[in-house]
Amino acid sequence: MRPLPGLPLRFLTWLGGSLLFLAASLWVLGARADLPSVLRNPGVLVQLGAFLALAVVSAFSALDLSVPGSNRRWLNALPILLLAGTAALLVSELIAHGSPAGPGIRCVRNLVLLSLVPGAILLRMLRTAAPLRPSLAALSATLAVTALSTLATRFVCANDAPLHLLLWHLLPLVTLVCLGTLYARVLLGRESAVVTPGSMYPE
Amino acid sequence: MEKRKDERLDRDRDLRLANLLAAAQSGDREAYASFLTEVSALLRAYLIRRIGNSDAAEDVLQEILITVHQARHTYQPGRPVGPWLFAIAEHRTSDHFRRNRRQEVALPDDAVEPEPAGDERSEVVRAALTRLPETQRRVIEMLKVEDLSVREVAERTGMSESSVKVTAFRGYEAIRRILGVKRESKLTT
Repeated sequence: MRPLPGLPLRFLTWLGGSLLFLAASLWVLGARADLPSVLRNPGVLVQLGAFLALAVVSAFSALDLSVPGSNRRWLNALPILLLAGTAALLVSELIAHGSPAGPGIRCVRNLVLLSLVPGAILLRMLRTAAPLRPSLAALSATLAVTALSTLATRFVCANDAPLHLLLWHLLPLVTLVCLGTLYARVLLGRESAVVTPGSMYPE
Repeated sequence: MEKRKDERLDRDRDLRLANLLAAAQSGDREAYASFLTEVSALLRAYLIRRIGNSDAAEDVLQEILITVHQARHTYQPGRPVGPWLFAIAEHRTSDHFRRNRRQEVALPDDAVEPEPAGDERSEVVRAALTRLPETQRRVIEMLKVEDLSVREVAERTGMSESSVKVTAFRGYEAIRRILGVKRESKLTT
C-alpha cells in the first residue's frame, strides 16, 4: 500500500490534468478573436487573476481537507473570502461602468462542459483520500473546479461587460458550486471501502 | 491542529507509533497489529474521559479503528501521528454525540451506573422510577434491577444499543430532577 502523495504533488497533478483538458477544449471551442489585446487589459488581467487564485486556493483547501489532521483553518476559510472578493470586484465594475448583459446561455454551457474533467479528477482524488468533513471538502472542490472553468470560459467568451460576467459567469458558478457540493458530498460521505472489524489487518 | 492537542502523545510515543504505521504502510503486518493494539489502549482511555460511558466508548473506538484502517494510506511518513490520529478520533466522537443528541460532558461513572445505597434512599429512588415514562422505566429496570447488559436490553426491546443508552441517560436525568439531585451527586437505587 503506497502512502498518499503530498499535497503539492496532488495539486500539481490535478492542475496539470485540468489544464491539458482545458487547452484541448479551448482548441475545439475556439478562442475569442480579440484574445491577444484582451490579455493586455489590466482590468481583465485582474479578473482572470482573481478566478485563478480562487481555483488554486480552493483546490489546495479541498486536498488539505482530504487528509485527517492536516487541516489548516485559515486555508479552509480562504475560498469563500476569495469568492466574495471576486464578486465584489465585478459588482464594483458594474457600478462604475454598467452595461447590458447580453446573451449567455452558451457561456453556461461552456462552464458546465469545461468543469467535467477537472471535476472528475478532483473528485477521484478526494475519494481515494479520507476527508473527515466531506461537506467542506466538496464545497472547496467544486469551487476550485468551477473557478477554473469560469476562467477558461473567459478565453472563449468575448463579452467582458460586468453584468454579463455576473449573470452568466459568476451566478452559474455559484449555482454549480451549490449543486456540485450536494452531489459530491454524497459521494464523499459514502464509505470508499467496506471494512469489518475482522479485516483490520492488511491483506 | 492546535498545539494543545499534540500533547496527548509525548514525543517518544508519537515517534514509536509513527514508525509502526509507516512500517504497516510498507506491508509489515506485525507492525500494524502493534500499532492498532497500542492505539486502542490509548484511545479507549481518551474516549472514556470524553464520553463517560464505557459501552459507548467501545462502540466509538471500533468506529475510529475502522476509519484509521480506511485512512491509513493518508498518513504522511515522517510527520507526527498524533494530529492525524486524534483528528479521526475527535470527528468520530463528534459523530457519536451528534447521533445521540447529547451534550459533550464528562459524566462521572455513577451517572450511568448508579451505586447501591441504603434502603430508605432506595425506596425514594424506586418511587421516582415509577414516575418515569414506561420506556425509560423499563430500560432502567432491565439494566439495574435485572442486571442485563445494554446489548441484551436492546435485543429484548427491539431498540438499538445507542437508543438504550440514550433512554437510560434520560431516565437517570429525570430521576435526578424528580429527586432534586444535582448531576455531580451520586444517584442511588
